Amino acid sequence: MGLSVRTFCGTFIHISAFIKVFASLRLTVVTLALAMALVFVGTLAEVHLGLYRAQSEFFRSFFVYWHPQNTGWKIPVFPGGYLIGVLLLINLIAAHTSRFKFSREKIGIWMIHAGLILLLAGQLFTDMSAVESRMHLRVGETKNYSESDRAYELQLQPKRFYLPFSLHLLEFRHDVYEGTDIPKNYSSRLLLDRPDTGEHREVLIYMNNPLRCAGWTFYQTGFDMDDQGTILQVVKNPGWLTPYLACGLIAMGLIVQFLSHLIPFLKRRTVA
Amino acid sequence: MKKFVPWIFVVVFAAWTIASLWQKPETGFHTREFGKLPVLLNGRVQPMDSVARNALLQIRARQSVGQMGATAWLMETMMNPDAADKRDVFRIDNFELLNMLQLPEQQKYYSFNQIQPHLDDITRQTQRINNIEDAGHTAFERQLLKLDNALEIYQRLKASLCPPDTENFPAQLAAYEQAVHAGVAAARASEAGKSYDAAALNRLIGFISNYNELSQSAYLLVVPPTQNSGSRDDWQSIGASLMNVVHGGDIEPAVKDYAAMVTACRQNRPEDFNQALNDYRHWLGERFVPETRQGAQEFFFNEFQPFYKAIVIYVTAFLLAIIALLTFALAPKLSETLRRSAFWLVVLGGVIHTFGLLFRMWLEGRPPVTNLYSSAIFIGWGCVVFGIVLERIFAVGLGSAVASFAGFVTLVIAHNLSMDGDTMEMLLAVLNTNFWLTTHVVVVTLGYASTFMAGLLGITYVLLGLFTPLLKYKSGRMELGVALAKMVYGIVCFATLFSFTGTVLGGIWADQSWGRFWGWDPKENGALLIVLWNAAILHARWGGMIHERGLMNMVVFGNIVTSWSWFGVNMLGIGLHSYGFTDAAFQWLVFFVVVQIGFIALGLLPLNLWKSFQPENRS
Repeated sequence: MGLSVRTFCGTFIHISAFIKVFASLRLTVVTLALAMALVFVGTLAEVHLGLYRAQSEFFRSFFVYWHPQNTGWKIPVFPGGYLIGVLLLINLIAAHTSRFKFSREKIGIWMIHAGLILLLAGQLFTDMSAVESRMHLRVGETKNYSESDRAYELQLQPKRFYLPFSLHLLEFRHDVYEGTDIPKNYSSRLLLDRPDTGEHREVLIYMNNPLRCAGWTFYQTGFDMDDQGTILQVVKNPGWLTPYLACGLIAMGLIVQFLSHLIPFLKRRTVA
Repeated sequence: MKKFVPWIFVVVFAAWTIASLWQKPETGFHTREFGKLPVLLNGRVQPMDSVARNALLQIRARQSVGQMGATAWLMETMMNPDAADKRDVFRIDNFELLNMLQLPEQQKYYSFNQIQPHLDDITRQTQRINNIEDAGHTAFERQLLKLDNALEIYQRLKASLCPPDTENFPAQLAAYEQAVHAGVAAARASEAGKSYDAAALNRLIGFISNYNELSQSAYLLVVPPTQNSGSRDDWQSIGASLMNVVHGGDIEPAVKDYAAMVTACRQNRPEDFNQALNDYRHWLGERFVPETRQGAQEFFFNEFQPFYKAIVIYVTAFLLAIIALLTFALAPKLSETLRRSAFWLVVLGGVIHTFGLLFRMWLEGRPPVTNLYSSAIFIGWGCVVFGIVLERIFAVGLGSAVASFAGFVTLVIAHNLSMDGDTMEMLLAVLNTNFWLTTHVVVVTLGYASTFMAGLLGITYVLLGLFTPLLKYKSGRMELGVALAKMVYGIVCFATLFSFTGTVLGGIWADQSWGRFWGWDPKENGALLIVLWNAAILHARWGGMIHERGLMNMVVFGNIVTSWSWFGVNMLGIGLHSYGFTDAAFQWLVFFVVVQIGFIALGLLPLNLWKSFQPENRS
């Protein structure tokens, strides 16, 4: 009996020590430092590997692997973006369940951390659920599908994503500043046709001004050399709203937190 | 008496600043009035004076040729090229290049006539180098490309207003007007298959090919849009405008006036030049009010040089603040006077800095940061504002010292970045949005500024602590070291707020423009590094992992992180933000990083070596 109580207590102490480690500020600092190292090395790797490969090897992975030459080995040498993100998430949640008490002074911190949890979780969700593709239209052409950049179907034709509407390119413009080659604007004037709602209207897509329709978003991303065709980036991202909410929450939390320190500090000084 | 000392400083420097606005009336050629004339270059309307200064910066790395002002040089180059060719304007520093061009090594500046015999060599080398990737260029090759660029600007400037070797341009234009009539009739007859005057047609073709060449080579567009051109941006070169005469209509008044100016200048007749200039200004003033105003305003800005003046004032303020700090214990009263003088000088410098910043924004119709140059100006401005606020709160002289130092350094950096030419260049399509430039770019740049500010205070702590007993001295009720720690902690909080919000706004911009919140673009990653580092500092502090000294060492490392994000990632040459890369900048970056590591090493020295922490100073 006595023995089992001791074991039980021991296990409990182990668990609480375990939680303590995961809830500790030390882990936060270590994870942040790891994240910095990863981001720095990943950025450098982008130069040689290209944006896409560096992203999948460094940021969208649990481990960064080292591939010794002439072997098929994969040796994990550094935590990847997913692992660090998950560690931070656990750290945050553990800290809030074990250390933090909700109080008025801490409301800013709670907002910041809640926002961070939403941001990290939302990005993880986006990463798994977002679909990116492209639509290439010549002037006068109509399409009701976009095509994948990377995945190919059986007949060696890029994988197609069919849309509940069609786009017809009326005009593509590529304006430059007078007397220079500096691009001033790229824009595509399109005719949107959506049978299920009967929508039939002209839309204009240009830099920083995408078209959002039925959960799909179209961005101006490229053009044909003869200026007679446009390339649109087509994205379906059900989680697109989470960063907005998360960041609003964090920014407000930061302001609340710092003002709640700054104002009493300044008051004390004026009194003194 | 001592009360007035700060005011004397401020009044003297303010008077010096304003005095430069007063100019003697010009005798001889009215160069300044010519400098205000609006023209179109780089896609924007700007005064001749800006064309001249930016061209000279690229050719000579200076805004003047000795005593000769930029506009006077431009006039000579465009109107009297034979004289200009003899002037030493091309700066060449690389010995290998000098050897290749067989030029004497001790001269530093060289004339076009000296370089001319080797133009073919230079073209051949340029073609070869252009096939090599930028990163592989040697110092010699970089200098050669620079010279090639300078030569192109120079030669195009020479052939902007008037065809080469034209003795009397107005007379030539009169002949052209006559030739057009007969020549066009001949051309029509020839097309219709009738008999035609071959001599008249050939005469016209001679003119046209001459003006076609002129329009091809013109560096700047000086003829304002005609009545029937649709856009107000539709400026033309003199050559193109003259070619249009064939389609009917007269020679534009602008062309005639410029022709009169060219010939008067060439023949050294100032009265005639001023007369033609006056006629043209009158004509412009009636038809192109905003353009004329724009030219005059930017001319004023160029001449006022607010950032140069701010540099001088910041240097003075910095010296005063340092002396104030060092005399803190020896002569408290003197120290206080100097401290207040330094503070009010920083405020004056800040006012002039702000004026320059706002004036630029107004000229461009843009938010403060649009390129690397303006980011330097804005970071300096942010640091100065933070410093002034700190000085108001703590009143120990450190705020002024750090503010003036940061203001001075960033403006010098900006000056060096301006060597690439026009600093008010037009924005690429992606950046052509005032909303995101105002929110994301401004906030993230404030994040840079505050992180640098914390880093500078960290360096101050290390230097004062190691080499002086000052950290333990009391100013008011607080020890200087404690005050510094409070300042740094507060600024790190702000830095976290700004860098986080700015980074996130960048993410939102990306989501609006490319459909992904986070694209791992190098510049985004750089901003993220600043956020992570500031967050790490705060958490380490809260967790008791670091104290005063650790905090200081960490914020000094923040300087490295920020400089990487500000300059380093641009040097990678990839991603959406890879604008404005210079090689010299890379060497400076390495130097900067090494110096910061040096400061951190000093900061890690055991406490018994710190003068401020010697037992006799512990009170």
